[in-house]
Amino acid sequence: MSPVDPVGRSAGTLTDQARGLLRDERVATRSGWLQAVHPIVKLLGIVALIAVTVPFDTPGPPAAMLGLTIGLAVLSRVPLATHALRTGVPMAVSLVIVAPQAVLLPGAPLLGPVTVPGISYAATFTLRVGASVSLLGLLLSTTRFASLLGALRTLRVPQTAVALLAITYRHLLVVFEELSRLVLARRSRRVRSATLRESWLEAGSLLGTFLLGALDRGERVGRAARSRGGTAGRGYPRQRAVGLRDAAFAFVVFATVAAGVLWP
Amino acid sequence: MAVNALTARDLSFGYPDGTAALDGLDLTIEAGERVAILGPNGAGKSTLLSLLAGLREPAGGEVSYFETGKSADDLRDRIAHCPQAPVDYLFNATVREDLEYGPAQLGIDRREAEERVDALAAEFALEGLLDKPPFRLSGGEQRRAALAAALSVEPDLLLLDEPVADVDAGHRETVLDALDRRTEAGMTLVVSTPDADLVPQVAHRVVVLDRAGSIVRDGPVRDVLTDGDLLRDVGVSPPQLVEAFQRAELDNPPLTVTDAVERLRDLDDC
Ligand SMILES: Nc1ncnc2c1ncn2[C@@H]1O[C@H](COP(=O)(O)OP(=O)(O)O)[C@@H](O)[C@H]1O
Ligand SMILES: [Mg+2]
Repeated sequence: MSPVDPVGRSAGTLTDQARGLLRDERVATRSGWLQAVHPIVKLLGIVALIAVTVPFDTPGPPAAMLGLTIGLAVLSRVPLATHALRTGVPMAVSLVIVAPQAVLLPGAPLLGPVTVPGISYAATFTLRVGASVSLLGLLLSTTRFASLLGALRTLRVPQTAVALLAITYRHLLVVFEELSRLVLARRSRRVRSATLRESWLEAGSLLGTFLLGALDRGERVGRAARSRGGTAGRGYPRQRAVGLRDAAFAFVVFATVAAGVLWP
Repeated sequence: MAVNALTARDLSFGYPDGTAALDGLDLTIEAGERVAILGPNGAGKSTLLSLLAGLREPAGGEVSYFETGKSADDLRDRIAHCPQAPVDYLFNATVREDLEYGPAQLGIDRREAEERVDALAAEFALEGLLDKPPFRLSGGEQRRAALAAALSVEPDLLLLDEPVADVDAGHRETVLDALDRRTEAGMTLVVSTPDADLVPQVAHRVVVLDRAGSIVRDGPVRDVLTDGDLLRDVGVSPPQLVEAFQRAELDNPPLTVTDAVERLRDLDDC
Protein backbone atom coordinates (compact mmCIF):
# COMPACT_ATOMS: atom_id res chain seq x y z
CA MET A 1 0.00 0.00 0.00
CA SER A 2 1.21 3.50 -0.76
CA PRO A 3 2.35 5.67 2.11
CA VAL A 4 -0.42 8.21 1.38
CA ASP A 5 -3.34 5.94 1.92
CA PRO A 6 -4.72 6.87 5.32
CA VAL A 7 -8.12 5.35 4.57
CA GLY A 8 -6.85 1.91 3.70
CA ARG A 9 -4.38 2.00 6.52
CA SER A 10 -6.70 3.17 9.26
CA ALA A 11 -9.55 0.91 8.19
CA GLY A 12 -7.15 -2.02 7.96
CA THR A 13 -5.65 -1.31 11.36
CA LEU A 14 -9.07 -0.77 12.88
CA THR A 15 -10.25 -4.10 11.50
CA ASP A 16 -7.27 -6.01 12.80
CA GLN A 17 -7.52 -4.33 16.18
CA ALA A 18 -11.23 -4.94 16.46
CA ARG A 19 -10.85 -8.55 15.44
CA GLY A 20 -8.07 -9.10 17.89
CA LEU A 21 -10.11 -7.42 20.58
CA LEU A 22 -13.30 -9.30 19.87
CA ARG A 23 -12.13 -12.69 18.92
CA ASP A 24 -8.61 -13.46 19.81
CA GLU A 25 -9.60 -16.90 20.94
CA ARG A 26 -5.90 -17.73 20.89
CA VAL A 27 -5.40 -15.68 24.05
CA ALA A 28 -8.38 -17.39 25.65
CA THR A 29 -6.91 -20.80 24.90
CA ARG A 30 -3.37 -20.01 26.09
CA SER A 31 -2.25 -21.59 29.29
CA GLY A 32 -2.27 -18.66 31.68
CA TRP A 33 -3.58 -18.03 35.15
CA LEU A 34 -6.91 -16.40 34.40
CA GLN A 35 -7.60 -18.79 31.54
CA ALA A 36 -7.51 -21.61 34.07
CA VAL A 37 -9.96 -19.91 36.42
CA HIS A 38 -13.54 -21.15 36.19
CA PRO A 39 -15.64 -18.65 34.18
CA ILE A 40 -18.13 -18.14 37.00
CA VAL A 41 -15.42 -17.49 39.60
CA LYS A 42 -13.73 -15.13 37.17
CA LEU A 43 -16.90 -13.26 36.28
CA LEU A 44 -17.86 -12.76 39.93
CA GLY A 45 -14.30 -11.83 40.86
CA ILE A 46 -13.95 -9.21 38.15
CA VAL A 47 -17.34 -7.73 38.98
CA ALA A 48 -16.29 -7.54 42.65
CA LEU A 49 -13.01 -5.82 41.73
CA ILE A 50 -14.83 -3.28 39.57
CA ALA A 51 -17.39 -2.68 42.31
CA VAL A 52 -14.71 -2.00 44.87
CA THR A 53 -12.79 0.37 42.58
CA VAL A 54 -15.59 2.61 41.45
CA PRO A 55 -16.57 4.33 44.75
CA PHE A 56 -13.07 5.73 45.44
CA ASP A 57 -12.59 9.47 45.07
CA THR A 58 -8.80 9.58 45.38
CA PRO A 59 -6.50 8.51 42.55
CA GLY A 60 -4.42 6.03 44.63
CA PRO A 61 -6.70 2.98 44.83
CA PRO A 62 -7.78 2.99 41.16
CA ALA A 63 -4.12 3.38 40.19
CA ALA A 64 -3.24 0.39 42.38
CA MET A 65 -6.04 -1.60 40.76
CA LEU A 66 -4.72 -0.69 37.33
CA GLY A 67 -1.33 -1.99 38.45
CA LEU A 68 -2.92 -5.21 39.69
CA THR A 69 -4.61 -5.75 36.33
CA ILE A 70 -1.29 -5.37 34.54
CA GLY A 71 0.15 -8.05 36.81
CA LEU A 72 -2.79 -10.31 36.06
CA ALA A 73 -2.34 -9.67 32.34
CA VAL A 74 1.31 -10.70 32.54
CA LEU A 75 0.48 -13.86 34.50
CA SER A 76 -2.21 -14.73 31.96
CA ARG A 77 0.04 -14.07 28.96
CA VAL A 78 -2.31 -11.45 27.54
CA PRO A 79 -0.40 -9.43 24.90
CA LEU A 80 0.41 -6.20 26.73
CA ALA A 81 0.38 -3.90 23.70
CA THR A 82 -3.16 -4.91 22.74
CA HIS A 83 -4.27 -4.71 26.32
CA ALA A 84 -2.72 -1.26 26.76
CA LEU A 85 -4.45 0.01 23.63
CA ARG A 86 -7.76 -1.46 24.65
CA THR A 87 -7.46 0.23 28.04
CA GLY A 88 -5.73 3.42 26.89
CA VAL A 89 -8.29 4.55 24.33
CA PRO A 90 -11.25 4.67 26.75
CA MET A 91 -8.95 6.37 29.31
CA ALA A 92 -7.96 9.04 26.79
CA VAL A 93 -11.61 9.62 25.89
CA SER A 94 -12.62 10.02 29.52
CA LEU A 95 -9.66 12.32 30.14
CA VAL A 96 -10.90 14.60 27.37
CA ILE A 97 -14.39 14.57 28.85
CA VAL A 98 -13.27 15.27 32.40
CA ALA A 99 -10.34 17.62 31.69
CA PRO A 100 -12.31 20.88 32.11
CA GLN A 101 -12.99 19.89 35.70
CA ALA A 102 -9.29 20.35 36.43
CA VAL A 103 -9.87 24.07 35.98
CA LEU A 104 -13.49 24.37 37.01
CA LEU A 105 -13.23 22.78 40.45
CA PRO A 106 -12.43 25.41 43.07
CA GLY A 107 -9.50 24.86 45.43
CA ALA A 108 -5.82 25.48 45.96
CA PRO A 109 -4.14 26.45 42.67
CA LEU A 110 -1.58 23.98 41.34
CA LEU A 111 -0.37 25.38 38.04
CA GLY A 112 -2.03 28.37 36.38
CA PRO A 113 -5.80 27.88 36.49
CA VAL A 114 -5.49 24.18 37.36
CA THR A 115 -6.54 23.41 40.93
CA VAL A 116 -5.40 20.58 43.20
CA PRO A 117 -8.91 19.15 43.73
CA GLY A 118 -9.49 19.59 39.98
CA ILE A 119 -6.48 17.53 38.93
CA SER A 120 -7.20 14.93 41.57
CA TYR A 121 -10.77 14.59 40.33
CA ALA A 122 -9.72 14.26 36.68
CA ALA A 123 -7.02 11.70 37.57
CA THR A 124 -9.36 9.63 39.74
CA PHE A 125 -12.06 9.60 37.10
CA THR A 126 -9.66 8.56 34.34
CA LEU A 127 -7.94 5.91 36.46
CA ARG A 128 -11.29 4.47 37.54
CA VAL A 129 -12.30 4.13 33.91
CA GLY A 130 -8.91 2.61 33.11
CA ALA A 131 -9.04 0.07 35.92
CA SER A 132 -12.60 -1.00 35.08
CA VAL A 133 -11.92 -1.29 31.36
CA SER A 134 -8.71 -3.16 32.03
CA LEU A 135 -10.56 -5.63 34.28
CA LEU A 136 -13.27 -6.15 31.67
CA GLY A 137 -10.61 -6.56 29.01
CA LEU A 138 -8.95 -9.29 31.08
CA LEU A 139 -12.24 -11.06 31.52
CA LEU A 140 -13.07 -10.93 27.81
CA SER A 141 -9.66 -11.86 26.49
CA THR A 142 -9.09 -14.81 28.79
CA THR A 143 -12.56 -16.35 28.50
CA ARG A 144 -14.12 -18.01 25.49
CA PHE A 145 -17.26 -16.12 24.66
CA ALA A 146 -19.40 -19.24 24.83
CA SER A 147 -18.15 -19.93 28.39
CA LEU A 148 -18.94 -16.37 29.37
CA LEU A 149 -22.50 -16.69 28.11
CA GLY A 150 -22.73 -20.03 29.91
CA ALA A 151 -21.55 -18.41 33.16
CA LEU A 152 -24.10 -15.60 32.82
CA ARG A 153 -26.83 -18.14 32.25
CA THR A 154 -25.78 -20.18 35.27
CA LEU A 155 -25.83 -17.01 37.35
CA ARG A 156 -29.49 -16.56 36.31
CA VAL A 157 -28.89 -13.37 34.37
CA PRO A 158 -32.18 -12.80 32.49
CA GLN A 159 -32.37 -14.79 29.26
CA THR A 160 -33.15 -11.68 27.19
CA ALA A 161 -30.01 -9.92 28.37
CA VAL A 162 -27.82 -12.93 27.57
CA ALA A 163 -29.43 -13.32 24.14
CA LEU A 164 -28.91 -9.62 23.47
CA LEU A 165 -25.25 -9.93 24.38
CA ALA A 166 -24.85 -12.98 22.15
CA ILE A 167 -26.47 -11.20 19.23
CA THR A 168 -24.45 -8.02 19.71
CA TYR A 169 -21.23 -9.97 19.82
CA ARG A 170 -22.09 -11.95 16.71
CA HIS A 171 -23.09 -8.82 14.82
CA LEU A 172 -19.94 -6.97 15.81
CA LEU A 173 -17.84 -9.80 14.44
CA VAL A 174 -19.83 -9.76 11.25
CA VAL A 175 -19.48 -6.00 10.92
CA PHE A 176 -15.71 -6.10 11.24
CA GLU A 177 -15.41 -8.98 8.82
CA GLU A 178 -17.45 -6.92 6.36
CA LEU A 179 -15.08 -4.00 6.81
CA SER A 180 -12.01 -6.12 6.29
CA ARG A 181 -13.43 -7.60 3.08
CA LEU A 182 -14.20 -4.12 1.79
CA VAL A 183 -10.72 -2.87 2.58
CA LEU A 184 -9.20 -5.88 0.85
CA ALA A 185 -11.35 -5.41 -2.26
CA ARG A 186 -10.46 -1.74 -2.37
CA ARG A 187 -6.78 -2.53 -2.06
CA SER A 188 -6.88 -5.19 -4.78
CA ARG A 189 -8.59 -2.85 -7.23
CA ARG A 190 -6.36 0.15 -6.65
CA VAL A 191 -4.30 0.72 -9.79
CA ARG A 192 -2.19 3.62 -8.58
CA SER A 193 -1.58 5.31 -5.28
CA ALA A 194 -4.25 7.80 -4.36
CA THR A 195 -3.61 11.37 -3.31
CA LEU A 196 -4.55 12.31 0.20
CA ARG A 197 -7.56 14.21 -1.12
CA GLU A 198 -8.80 11.30 -3.22
CA SER A 199 -8.30 9.02 -0.31
CA TRP A 200 -10.49 11.07 1.96
CA LEU A 201 -13.18 11.55 -0.67
CA GLU A 202 -13.23 7.83 -1.10
CA ALA A 203 -13.51 7.29 2.62
CA GLY A 204 -17.03 8.71 2.59
CA SER A 205 -18.34 6.29 0.02
CA LEU A 206 -16.39 3.43 1.57
CA LEU A 207 -18.05 4.12 4.90
CA GLY A 208 -21.50 4.29 3.28
CA THR A 209 -21.02 1.00 1.45
CA PHE A 210 -19.62 -0.55 4.57
CA LEU A 211 -22.55 0.41 6.76
CA LEU A 212 -25.15 -0.73 4.24
CA GLY A 213 -23.26 -3.94 3.57
CA ALA A 214 -22.88 -4.67 7.26
CA LEU A 215 -26.56 -4.03 7.83
CA ASP A 216 -27.50 -6.40 5.03
CA ARG A 217 -25.08 -9.03 6.16
CA GLY A 218 -26.36 -8.72 9.69
CA GLU A 219 -29.81 -9.49 8.36
CA ARG A 220 -28.56 -12.53 6.48
CA VAL A 221 -26.76 -13.83 9.54
CA GLY A 222 -29.88 -13.18 11.57
CA ARG A 223 -31.87 -15.30 9.15
CA ALA A 224 -29.25 -18.05 9.30
CA ALA A 225 -29.43 -18.06 13.10
CA ARG A 226 -33.22 -18.24 12.89
CA SER A 227 -33.07 -21.18 10.51
CA ARG A 228 -30.76 -22.93 12.93
CA GLY A 229 -33.12 -22.80 15.83
CA GLY A 230 -32.77 -19.33 17.29
CA THR A 231 -30.44 -16.61 18.40
CA ALA A 232 -30.16 -17.49 22.06
CA GLY A 233 -26.57 -18.58 21.49
CA ARG A 234 -26.86 -21.58 23.74
CA GLY A 235 -23.70 -23.70 23.76
CA TYR A 236 -22.31 -26.74 25.48
CA PRO A 237 -20.17 -25.65 28.40
CA ARG A 238 -16.66 -27.06 28.54
CA GLN A 239 -16.52 -28.77 31.93
CA ARG A 240 -13.65 -28.10 34.25
CA ALA A 241 -13.03 -28.77 37.90
CA VAL A 242 -12.39 -25.97 40.39
CA GLY A 243 -8.73 -26.04 41.39
CA LEU A 244 -5.76 -24.23 42.85
CA ARG A 245 -5.78 -21.39 40.34
CA ASP A 246 -9.45 -20.69 41.06
CA ALA A 247 -8.62 -20.52 44.74
CA ALA A 248 -5.65 -18.24 44.10
CA PHE A 249 -7.74 -15.86 42.05
CA ALA A 250 -10.55 -15.90 44.61
CA PHE A 251 -7.97 -15.05 47.28
CA VAL A 252 -6.59 -12.10 45.29
CA VAL A 253 -10.10 -10.79 44.79
CA PHE A 254 -10.97 -11.28 48.45
CA ALA A 255 -7.78 -9.57 49.66
CA THR A 256 -8.23 -6.65 47.28
CA VAL A 257 -11.87 -6.14 48.13
CA ALA A 258 -11.06 -6.34 51.84
CA ALA A 259 -8.27 -3.77 51.40
CA GLY A 260 -10.67 -1.56 49.47
CA VAL A 261 -13.37 -1.76 52.12
CA LEU A 262 -10.92 -1.19 54.99
CA TRP A 263 -9.17 1.71 53.21
CA PRO A 264 -9.19 4.65 55.65
CA MET B 1 -49.95 -41.49 -0.67
CA ALA B 2 -46.90 -39.62 0.56
CA VAL B 3 -47.26 -36.64 2.83
CA ASN B 4 -46.38 -33.26 1.35
CA ALA B 5 -43.17 -31.96 2.85
CA LEU B 6 -43.92 -28.49 1.64
CA THR B 7 -46.82 -26.69 0.01
CA ALA B 8 -46.48 -23.11 -1.23
CA ARG B 9 -49.61 -21.37 -2.39
CA ASP B 10 -49.71 -18.16 -4.43
CA LEU B 11 -46.39 -17.01 -3.00
CA SER B 12 -45.32 -13.42 -3.77
CA PHE B 13 -42.36 -11.42 -2.59
CA GLY B 14 -40.86 -8.03 -3.41
CA TYR B 15 -37.74 -6.42 -1.93
CA PRO B 16 -38.10 -3.04 -0.18
CA ASP B 17 -36.34 -1.31 -3.08
CA GLY B 18 -39.17 -2.34 -5.40
CA THR B 19 -37.56 -5.41 -6.98
CA ALA B 20 -40.40 -7.85 -7.56
CA ALA B 21 -38.72 -11.20 -6.99
CA LEU B 22 -41.63 -13.66 -7.08
CA ASP B 23 -45.26 -13.33 -8.10
CA GLY B 24 -48.00 -15.86 -7.38
CA LEU B 25 -45.87 -18.99 -7.24
CA ASP B 26 -47.37 -22.41 -6.46
CA LEU B 27 -45.24 -25.39 -5.55
CA THR B 28 -45.88 -28.70 -3.84
CA ILE B 29 -43.09 -31.05 -2.87
CA GLU B 30 -43.76 -34.52 -1.51
CA ALA B 31 -41.80 -35.98 1.36
CA GLY B 32 -38.73 -37.81 0.07
CA GLU B 33 -38.60 -35.99 -3.25
CA ARG B 34 -35.37 -34.57 -4.68
CA VAL B 35 -36.14 -31.35 -6.47
CA ALA B 36 -33.83 -28.93 -8.28
CA ILE B 37 -34.76 -25.28 -8.74
CA LEU B 38 -33.01 -24.32 -11.98
CA GLY B 39 -32.75 -20.78 -13.26
CA PRO B 40 -30.36 -18.04 -14.35
CA ASN B 41 -28.70 -15.58 -11.95
CA GLY B 42 -31.26 -13.22 -10.51
CA ALA B 43 -34.23 -15.50 -11.26
CA GLY B 44 -35.18 -15.53 -7.61
CA LYS B 45 -33.91 -18.95 -6.56
CA SER B 46 -32.31 -17.73 -3.34
CA THR B 47 -35.33 -15.59 -2.55
CA LEU B 48 -37.61 -18.57 -3.12
CA LEU B 49 -35.56 -20.87 -0.89
CA SER B 50 -35.51 -18.38 1.98
CA LEU B 51 -39.29 -17.96 1.64
CA LEU B 52 -39.75 -21.73 1.59
CA ALA B 53 -37.60 -21.94 4.73
CA GLY B 54 -39.85 -19.39 6.44
CA LEU B 55 -37.01 -16.91 6.82
CA ARG B 56 -38.75 -14.04 5.03
CA GLU B 57 -42.36 -13.02 5.29
CA PRO B 58 -44.05 -13.35 1.89
CA ALA B 59 -46.00 -10.34 0.60
CA GLY B 60 -48.77 -12.75 -0.29
CA GLY B 61 -49.53 -16.43 -0.07
CA GLU B 62 -48.33 -19.01 2.43
CA VAL B 63 -46.16 -22.05 2.94
CA SER B 64 -47.14 -25.09 4.99
CA TYR B 65 -44.91 -27.94 6.11
CA PHE B 66 -45.54 -31.66 6.46
CA GLU B 67 -49.28 -30.88 6.44
CA THR B 68 -48.97 -29.86 10.08
CA GLY B 69 -50.24 -26.28 9.97
CA LYS B 70 -47.21 -25.33 12.09
CA SER B 71 -44.91 -22.43 11.22
CA ALA B 72 -41.35 -23.02 10.09
CA ASP B 73 -40.08 -21.53 13.36
CA ASP B 74 -41.85 -24.33 15.24
CA LEU B 75 -40.20 -26.91 13.01
CA ARG B 76 -36.55 -25.82 13.04
CA ASP B 77 -35.53 -29.30 14.10
CA ARG B 78 -37.03 -30.66 10.87
CA ILE B 79 -36.25 -27.92 8.34
CA ALA B 80 -32.73 -26.79 7.46
CA HIS B 81 -31.74 -24.08 5.02
CA CYS B 82 -28.23 -23.47 3.79
CA PRO B 83 -27.84 -20.03 2.21
CA GLN B 84 -25.84 -19.22 -0.91
CA ALA B 85 -23.02 -17.54 1.04
CA PRO B 86 -21.70 -19.98 3.66
CA VAL B 87 -19.99 -17.14 5.57
CA ASP B 88 -23.44 -15.97 6.59
CA TYR B 89 -24.17 -19.39 8.00
CA LEU B 90 -20.98 -19.89 9.98
CA PHE B 91 -21.06 -17.21 12.64
CA ASN B 92 -19.49 -18.96 15.60
CA ALA B 93 -15.94 -18.72 16.88
CA THR B 94 -14.84 -22.14 15.66
CA VAL B 95 -16.07 -24.72 13.17
CA ARG B 96 -16.78 -27.10 16.05
CA GLU B 97 -19.02 -24.56 17.76
CA ASP B 98 -20.78 -24.01 14.48
CA LEU B 99 -21.49 -27.69 14.09
CA GLU B 100 -22.77 -27.80 17.67
CA TYR B 101 -24.86 -24.66 17.29
CA GLY B 102 -28.02 -26.22 15.83
CA PRO B 103 -28.15 -29.15 18.28
CA ALA B 104 -27.47 -26.78 21.21
CA GLN B 105 -30.32 -24.44 20.21
CA LEU B 106 -32.66 -27.39 19.87
CA GLY B 107 -31.68 -28.70 23.31
CA ILE B 108 -30.17 -31.94 22.03
CA ASP B 109 -28.19 -33.89 24.60
CA ARG B 110 -24.53 -32.95 24.63
CA ARG B 111 -23.10 -36.41 24.14
CA GLU B 112 -25.40 -37.00 21.20
CA ALA B 113 -24.35 -33.65 19.72
CA GLU B 114 -20.67 -34.53 20.06
CA GLU B 115 -21.24 -37.84 18.30
CA ARG B 116 -22.96 -36.03 15.48
CA VAL B 117 -20.15 -33.50 15.18
CA ASP B 118 -17.52 -36.24 14.99
CA ALA B 119 -19.48 -38.16 12.38
CA LEU B 120 -20.09 -35.05 10.28
CA ALA B 121 -16.47 -33.96 10.53
CA ALA B 122 -15.38 -37.36 9.20
CA GLU B 123 -18.02 -37.39 6.50
CA PHE B 124 -17.15 -33.92 5.20
CA ALA B 125 -13.38 -34.08 5.71
CA LEU B 126 -13.43 -31.34 8.35
CA GLU B 127 -11.43 -33.10 11.05
CA GLY B 128 -8.39 -30.88 10.79
CA LEU B 129 -10.48 -27.73 10.70
CA LEU B 130 -12.68 -28.10 13.77
CA ASP B 131 -10.78 -25.63 15.93
CA LYS B 132 -10.32 -23.01 13.23
CA PRO B 133 -12.47 -19.90 13.01
CA PRO B 134 -14.80 -20.39 10.02
CA PHE B 135 -13.70 -17.17 8.35
CA ARG B 136 -10.18 -18.56 7.97
CA LEU B 137 -11.45 -21.48 5.88
CA SER B 138 -11.27 -21.55 2.09
CA GLY B 139 -14.48 -21.08 0.11
CA GLY B 140 -14.98 -24.78 -0.53
CA GLU B 141 -14.17 -25.69 3.06
CA GLN B 142 -16.69 -23.13 4.28
CA ARG B 143 -19.34 -24.62 2.04
CA ARG B 144 -18.71 -28.13 3.36
CA ALA B 145 -18.74 -26.84 6.92
CA ALA B 146 -22.01 -25.00 6.34
CA LEU B 147 -23.63 -28.10 4.86
CA ALA B 148 -22.38 -30.21 7.76
CA ALA B 149 -23.76 -27.61 10.18
CA ALA B 150 -27.14 -27.71 8.42
CA LEU B 151 -27.19 -31.50 8.63
CA SER B 152 -26.28 -31.49 12.33
CA VAL B 153 -29.96 -31.19 13.25
CA GLU B 154 -30.77 -34.20 11.03
CA PRO B 155 -33.50 -32.38 9.13
CA ASP B 156 -36.40 -33.99 7.27
CA LEU B 157 -36.34 -31.18 4.73
CA LEU B 158 -33.15 -29.58 3.47
CA LEU B 159 -33.17 -26.45 1.32
CA LEU B 160 -29.76 -25.98 -0.27
CA ASP B 161 -28.75 -22.86 -2.16
CA GLU B 162 -26.09 -23.67 -4.78
CA PRO B 163 -24.42 -26.43 -2.72
CA VAL B 164 -21.31 -27.18 -4.77
CA ALA B 165 -20.32 -23.77 -6.08
CA ASP B 166 -16.55 -23.52 -5.44
CA VAL B 167 -16.19 -27.10 -4.12
CA ASP B 168 -13.40 -29.07 -5.82
CA ALA B 169 -14.05 -32.28 -7.75
CA GLY B 170 -13.11 -34.69 -4.97
CA HIS B 171 -15.15 -32.94 -2.33
CA ARG B 172 -18.00 -32.48 -4.76
CA GLU B 173 -18.37 -36.26 -4.73
CA THR B 174 -18.24 -36.16 -0.93
CA VAL B 175 -21.07 -33.66 -0.84
CA LEU B 176 -23.21 -35.42 -3.44
CA ASP B 177 -22.71 -38.82 -1.75
CA ALA B 178 -23.70 -37.32 1.59
CA LEU B 179 -26.87 -35.92 0.05
CA ASP B 180 -27.62 -39.29 -1.59
CA ARG B 181 -27.36 -41.06 1.75
CA ARG B 182 -29.72 -38.60 3.37
CA THR B 183 -32.35 -38.77 0.65
CA GLU B 184 -32.18 -42.57 0.57
CA ALA B 185 -32.99 -42.42 4.27
CA GLY B 186 -36.05 -40.34 3.46
CA MET B 187 -34.91 -36.72 3.65
CA THR B 188 -36.58 -34.29 1.25
CA LEU B 189 -34.09 -32.25 -0.72
CA VAL B 190 -34.55 -28.97 -2.58
CA VAL B 191 -31.45 -27.66 -4.34
CA SER B 192 -31.11 -24.44 -6.30
CA THR B 193 -28.59 -24.08 -9.09
CA PRO B 194 -27.95 -22.18 -12.32
CA ASP B 195 -26.05 -25.23 -13.60
CA ALA B 196 -28.09 -27.77 -15.57
CA ASP B 197 -25.21 -30.27 -15.42
CA LEU B 198 -25.61 -30.56 -11.67
CA VAL B 199 -29.34 -31.27 -11.81
CA PRO B 200 -29.27 -35.01 -12.75
CA GLN B 201 -26.83 -35.61 -9.89
CA VAL B 202 -29.05 -34.15 -7.19
CA ALA B 203 -32.64 -34.38 -8.37
CA HIS B 204 -35.36 -36.42 -10.00
CA ARG B 205 -37.62 -33.46 -10.59
CA VAL B 206 -36.72 -30.01 -11.78
CA VAL B 207 -38.54 -26.70 -11.51
CA VAL B 208 -37.36 -24.05 -13.99
CA LEU B 209 -37.58 -20.38 -13.03
CA ASP B 210 -37.30 -17.66 -15.66
CA ARG B 211 -35.77 -14.22 -15.15
CA ALA B 212 -39.11 -12.87 -13.92
CA GLY B 213 -39.21 -15.47 -11.15
CA SER B 214 -42.11 -17.48 -12.60
CA ILE B 215 -42.15 -21.25 -12.89
CA VAL B 216 -42.00 -22.00 -16.63
CA ARG B 217 -41.60 -25.74 -16.35
CA ASP B 218 -41.91 -28.38 -13.65
CA GLY B 219 -41.32 -32.03 -14.43
CA PRO B 220 -39.07 -35.08 -14.43
CA VAL B 221 -35.41 -34.25 -14.96
CA ARG B 222 -35.13 -36.04 -18.31
CA ASP B 223 -38.14 -34.31 -19.87
CA VAL B 224 -37.02 -30.85 -18.83
CA LEU B 225 -33.28 -31.10 -19.46
CA THR B 226 -33.66 -32.43 -22.99
CA ASP B 227 -35.75 -29.38 -23.90
CA GLY B 228 -32.79 -27.26 -25.00
CA ASP B 229 -34.92 -24.46 -26.43
CA LEU B 230 -36.78 -23.94 -23.19
CA LEU B 231 -33.55 -23.83 -21.18
CA ARG B 232 -31.82 -21.41 -23.57
CA ASP B 233 -34.94 -19.23 -23.52
CA VAL B 234 -34.65 -18.69 -19.78
CA GLY B 235 -30.88 -18.20 -20.00
CA VAL B 236 -29.59 -21.57 -18.80
CA SER B 237 -27.22 -23.74 -20.85
CA PRO B 238 -28.50 -27.27 -21.43
CA PRO B 239 -26.33 -30.03 -19.95
CA GLN B 240 -23.18 -30.55 -22.01
CA LEU B 241 -23.96 -34.19 -22.78
CA VAL B 242 -27.44 -33.30 -23.98
CA GLU B 243 -26.02 -30.52 -26.11
CA ALA B 244 -23.39 -32.84 -27.62
CA PHE B 245 -25.82 -35.64 -28.45
CA GLN B 246 -28.40 -33.27 -29.87
CA ARG B 247 -25.84 -31.55 -32.10
CA ALA B 248 -24.72 -34.95 -33.31
CA GLU B 249 -28.41 -35.59 -34.03
CA LEU B 250 -28.53 -38.61 -31.76
CA ASP B 251 -31.82 -39.14 -29.97
CA ASN B 252 -32.41 -39.94 -26.32
CA PRO B 253 -29.36 -38.03 -24.98
CA PRO B 254 -27.79 -39.31 -21.77
CA LEU B 255 -27.83 -37.20 -18.60
CA THR B 256 -24.89 -38.70 -16.73
CA VAL B 257 -21.40 -39.71 -17.75
CA THR B 258 -22.14 -43.36 -16.94
CA ASP B 259 -25.14 -43.32 -19.27
CA ALA B 260 -23.10 -41.55 -21.94
CA VAL B 261 -20.36 -44.17 -21.81
CA GLU B 262 -22.96 -46.91 -22.28
CA ARG B 263 -24.54 -45.09 -25.23
CA LEU B 264 -21.18 -44.55 -26.88
CA ARG B 265 -20.28 -48.23 -26.48
CA ASP B 266 -23.61 -49.19 -28.04
CA LEU B 267 -22.94 -46.85 -30.94
CA ASP B 268 -19.52 -48.34 -31.39
CA ASP B 269 -20.96 -51.86 -31.49
CA CYS B 270 -23.28 -51.24 -34.41
N1 LIG C 1 -31.65 -7.64 -0.56
C1 LIG C 1 -32.10 -7.36 -1.81
N2 LIG C 1 -32.63 -6.15 -2.09
C2 LIG C 1 -33.09 -5.87 -3.32
N3 LIG C 1 -33.09 -6.73 -4.34
C3 LIG C 1 -32.59 -7.96 -4.14
C4 LIG C 1 -32.07 -8.34 -2.87
N4 LIG C 1 -31.63 -9.61 -2.95
C5 LIG C 1 -31.87 -10.00 -4.22
N5 LIG C 1 -32.46 -9.02 -4.94
C6 LIG C 1 -32.91 -9.08 -6.33
O1 LIG C 1 -33.96 -10.05 -6.42
C7 LIG C 1 -33.81 -10.81 -7.59
C8 LIG C 1 -33.70 -12.30 -7.24
O2 LIG C 1 -32.49 -12.50 -6.53
P1 LIG C 1 -32.02 -13.94 -6.04
O3 LIG C 1 -33.16 -14.60 -5.37
O4 LIG C 1 -30.79 -13.76 -5.27
O5 LIG C 1 -31.72 -14.65 -7.43
P2 LIG C 1 -30.92 -16.00 -7.74
O6 LIG C 1 -30.66 -16.69 -6.45
O7 LIG C 1 -31.83 -16.78 -8.62
O8 LIG C 1 -29.67 -15.63 -8.46
C9 LIG C 1 -32.61 -10.26 -8.33
O9 LIG C 1 -33.07 -9.37 -9.31
C10 LIG C 1 -31.83 -9.53 -7.26
O10 LIG C 1 -31.13 -8.44 -7.82
MG1 LIG D 1 -28.93 -17.19 -5.57
